[in-house]
Amino acid sequence: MHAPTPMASAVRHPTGWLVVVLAFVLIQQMAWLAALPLWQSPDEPAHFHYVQYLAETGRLPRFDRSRPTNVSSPEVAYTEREAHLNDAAFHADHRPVTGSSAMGPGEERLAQSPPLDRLNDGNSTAAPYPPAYYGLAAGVYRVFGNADILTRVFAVRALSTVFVLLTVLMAWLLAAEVWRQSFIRAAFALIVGSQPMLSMMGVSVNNDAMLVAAASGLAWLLLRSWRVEPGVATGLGMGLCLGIAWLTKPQGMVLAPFIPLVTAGFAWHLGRSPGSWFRVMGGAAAGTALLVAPWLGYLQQAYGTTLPALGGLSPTPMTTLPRYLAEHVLQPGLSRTHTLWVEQYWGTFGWLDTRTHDLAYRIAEAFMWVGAFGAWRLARRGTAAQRAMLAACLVLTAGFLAALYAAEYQVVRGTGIPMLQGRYLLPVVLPHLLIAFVGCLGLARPERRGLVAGWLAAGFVAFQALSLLRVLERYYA
Amino acid sequence: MPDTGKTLRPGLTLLILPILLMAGMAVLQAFQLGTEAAEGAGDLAWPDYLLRRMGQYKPALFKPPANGLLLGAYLLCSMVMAGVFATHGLRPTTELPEDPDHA
Repeated sequence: MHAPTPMASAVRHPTGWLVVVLAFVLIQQMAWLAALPLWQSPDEPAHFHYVQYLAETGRLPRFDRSRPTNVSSPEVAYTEREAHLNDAAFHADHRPVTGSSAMGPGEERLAQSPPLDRLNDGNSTAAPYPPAYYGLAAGVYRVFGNADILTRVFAVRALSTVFVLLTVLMAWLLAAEVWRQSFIRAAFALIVGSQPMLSMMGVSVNNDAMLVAAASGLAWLLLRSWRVEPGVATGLGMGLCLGIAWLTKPQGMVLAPFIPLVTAGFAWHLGRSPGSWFRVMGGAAAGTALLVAPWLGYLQQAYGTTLPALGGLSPTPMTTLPRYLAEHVLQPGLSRTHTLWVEQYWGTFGWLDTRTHDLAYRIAEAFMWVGAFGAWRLARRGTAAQRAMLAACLVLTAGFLAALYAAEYQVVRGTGIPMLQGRYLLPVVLPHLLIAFVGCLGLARPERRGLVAGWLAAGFVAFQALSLLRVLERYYA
Repeated sequence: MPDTGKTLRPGLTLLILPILLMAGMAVLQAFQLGTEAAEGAGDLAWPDYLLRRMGQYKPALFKPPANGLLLGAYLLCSMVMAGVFATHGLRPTTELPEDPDHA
């Protein structure tokens, strides 16, 4: 009576669903590449300055707050001026494109000789960041080194899409630790791949998508260590994921405590020997040190510290913890909390100036609350494996969130300026969404779980389409 | 996973409501996009106007008509994927029961 759909009939091998989801996410990201205007992503010019400086000079940029920052190369400055970047950023009513031609004002000039100068001084606000993403991006830039700047920017943008696909793959692998049904795994992977903010960052010149992919790899290895006892090789894999995350963005280092914490929790619960846990830690330490030690050495030599070069921090506290909590965390109505972890997390586009419909955010928020309720219920009535998995996801999500606030407190103390943005939670998008997804499915009878998973995935595909159409309306209509 | 949801069974039907709302909002957004683009399009057909402006300051791969094909392919695939995922779960599963080692 329930005839299989043509696509479902075609998906016979368990990994067939994965291929379908990856293919769809690739098409979706290509559509985002076509939709997002040049430089209309948070700090995209600053990130491109780093890529361009590294690719053109072969040297890492040096951050110096005493000098002017973000001074573009002549060709980037030309596009910023002609594309009206500064008019459109943070002004949702201003469209950076004009006229009805497929060529923007002054666009022909970019392909003409003599070419505009590509050199900048490297002193961008992205310059203190570690080099992993920028090294890869500079490689892509050099592959397209003879092309015009638009081709180079979009080639580097496409690199971020690779990391979105890797994140979707990690979501599939993580879901395989929880469910054997390939359709449910595919639904979870599709939900992750349809997260609108991840999609936009996945077509931006920005190190965020690579951080998310590396952190997702670590989350998968950590949660897998419940079912499969980890050894030195798994520990090494965890360390490499941590090292890549750390070398991509300073927030990556925050993931370090979760390796001993989660693996020790699992080992204690399952009665594994302390010796095997120390072997995992040895592998993790080796993997991390292999990648991170040279970078820390460089930081020490270049900046005199191994901490992120924030610059401008005052040793005199400008605010107390209660005052910080009152003003920036627990303010009346939790308005900033909602803005950060609902609106900005799920998707505010462009320079975070373009929201979609309130109802869409409310529905996404309701998904999280219903999922949290289901997870709480499952934790009380479910199996030890379910409790362990949920506890690990909660530790990863809540711990990462707490670390973000702790970092912001330090920045507010030094500068008085809060720095958090909703997308900073994306590195824990897998454990975060897994809690809600497991919770929602836990509310259903076993024979209905496939249906609930499919409905949720369909809803997120619609959320994604809504977001993309909103971006088109904001910039081009 | 064990059955822990008997008492909440009727509530599950409510899950379809937000999904329909999301899809409805996406359709309304598409209409709004078309309406606003039509206002500025002048003598041009509004999709042509929209795709031309989308192509500004982008490489040839993302200029019309390629960007139109990409966008069309994405919207079509979205509808297919949403339809497949929403209906596939109706099928009785033919896969193996859940492994007790799995959560």
